Amino acid sequence: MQLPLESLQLDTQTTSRGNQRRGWRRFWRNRLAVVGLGIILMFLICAVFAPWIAPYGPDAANFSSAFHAPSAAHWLGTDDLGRDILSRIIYGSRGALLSGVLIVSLGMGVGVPLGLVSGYFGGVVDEVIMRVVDAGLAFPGLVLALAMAWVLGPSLSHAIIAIGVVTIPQFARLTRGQVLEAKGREYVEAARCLGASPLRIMFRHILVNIATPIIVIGTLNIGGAILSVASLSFLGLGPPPPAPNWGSMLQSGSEYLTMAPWISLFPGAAIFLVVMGFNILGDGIRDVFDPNQ
Amino acid sequence: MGPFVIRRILNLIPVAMIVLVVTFALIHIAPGNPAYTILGEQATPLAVRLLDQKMGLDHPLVVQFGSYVVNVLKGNLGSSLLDGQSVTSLILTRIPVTLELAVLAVVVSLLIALPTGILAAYRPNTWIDGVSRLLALVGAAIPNFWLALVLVYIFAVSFRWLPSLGWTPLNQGVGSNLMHLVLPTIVLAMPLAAVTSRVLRGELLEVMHLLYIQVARAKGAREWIVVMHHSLRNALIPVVTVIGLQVGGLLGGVVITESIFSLPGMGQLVVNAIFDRDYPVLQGSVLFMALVVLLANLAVDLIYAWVDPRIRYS
Repeated sequence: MQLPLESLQLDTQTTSRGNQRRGWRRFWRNRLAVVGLGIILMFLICAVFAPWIAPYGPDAANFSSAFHAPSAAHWLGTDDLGRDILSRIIYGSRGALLSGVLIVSLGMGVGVPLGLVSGYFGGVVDEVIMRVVDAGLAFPGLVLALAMAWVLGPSLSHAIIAIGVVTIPQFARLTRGQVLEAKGREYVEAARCLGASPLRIMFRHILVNIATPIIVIGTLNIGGAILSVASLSFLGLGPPPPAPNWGSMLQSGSEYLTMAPWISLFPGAAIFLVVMGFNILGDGIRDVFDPNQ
Repeated sequence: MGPFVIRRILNLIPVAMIVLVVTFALIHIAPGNPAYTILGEQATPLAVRLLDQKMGLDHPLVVQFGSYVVNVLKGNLGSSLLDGQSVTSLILTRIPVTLELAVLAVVVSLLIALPTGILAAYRPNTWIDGVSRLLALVGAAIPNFWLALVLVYIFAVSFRWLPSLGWTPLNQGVGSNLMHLVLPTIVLAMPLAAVTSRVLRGELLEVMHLLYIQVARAKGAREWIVVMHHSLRNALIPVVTVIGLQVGGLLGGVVITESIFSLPGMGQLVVNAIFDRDYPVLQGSVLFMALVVLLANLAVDLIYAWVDPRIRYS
């Protein structure tokens, strides 16, 4: 009994690998997706090598050069304390990228196991978990995150926790759907026949097979997560002042919109670019694995 | 239809209960006495004790939760720590502003999404489709607070065509009321239009392969009629669903938009509550918004089941 099943699985795997290789070729021909990848790589390089790339320190205040418009010395101008906007945006990419990845990791880390258990066991367990997920999805994400971040106190890590918790139900819902589809497949049946424990079937067999769509949705969500952090920071629930944070920079600059619009316009452009980068990269990756979309 | 409606409404009860648990537990996720969380670390012991008494924070958690549920069922969401006004009435006075803004935003988003979505599906993989896709990408990625500032800078600061912030009630002049809502509506409508336009395009493309469309073409109907009459009708159902599911996102957007443009709606209430450390108002608003989303989802499900009988029996 074992042999045919093994060969069957091998077979489907080779074809799906072939499909994937063709998919990746399509990805590189998809100019928009490559542009997205380029944007993210650019911000990633900025984040990693910030001290070498940034022309000034992120907190280097210089009152004699406050409110300078963009010039050769300060490409994107200076803020009310004379700090270089470009340098602060470059340093700010660290917090932005890190928070995006951490939020999605938190959401997946809790949401995926919940969805696995819910979908695999079904019955009362499923009913209970899904009602909790329904309730979680009822809250407008930003508003619940706002309230949680306020209760925990303003800081970047609290904003990450708040937004991460809010994304848990989405991943649980998504994973459950995938599990329900995978549960009836032969390889699950085969594993069960071989006496594998539910835990083993869920994590070693099902999870491995449904990982791709979850990772794709995860990538797509990084952009949204960064946007949420920026929104919270804009409302004053991000990291406290001196930290170079895009949302807070935008907020503090909005006071000087009439006399020095560059203070808030450029950090906003950075948020926009990085979110768009993740969105179009996610679209491109989805096309690789699911060309029918 | 009857059994479906009853089943769907019964389903709502446990979910609403869990929503209540979440809004109740919200203040307890921070370590330490909730009164300190509400008042701030530097609160005097006297102030803490007064607040404990006022909000019943000195009772056991079970008792607190019990009275919370009873009060909510009676429509009592507590009272503001600032001036003692009832949270329920604070919310009620702010609904009209938010409702007007949200309805306008949905209408404007449809005005953008219908033409771009239809054109993109009508001519897929052409420059028209490309432009519509680009608009959707921009609409989904643009931070609403940034868009708000850019629009204010262009239309209110540079050209002085529109007021930058503030609000005129509808009964004190429709023109002025609408003028104040132009920019906030655009800001709120953008992400909604982006999603709707892409969903509409996808649905139209899917429907266009179906047999009845081929029949319509075969009998010689003009392409435009096929799109507008035969395809669009069937593609619109998922669009309604998407708009219903976006209510949560819309409420999140309302918080940002109203606080930037100083519109006295629900969103501004939330932000003010955060700045004033007015916890009962924050808690009540969060609960109210979650209930709105639940009811919106219920409405979508019922409409869906009414339009498509297959749903009722699954």
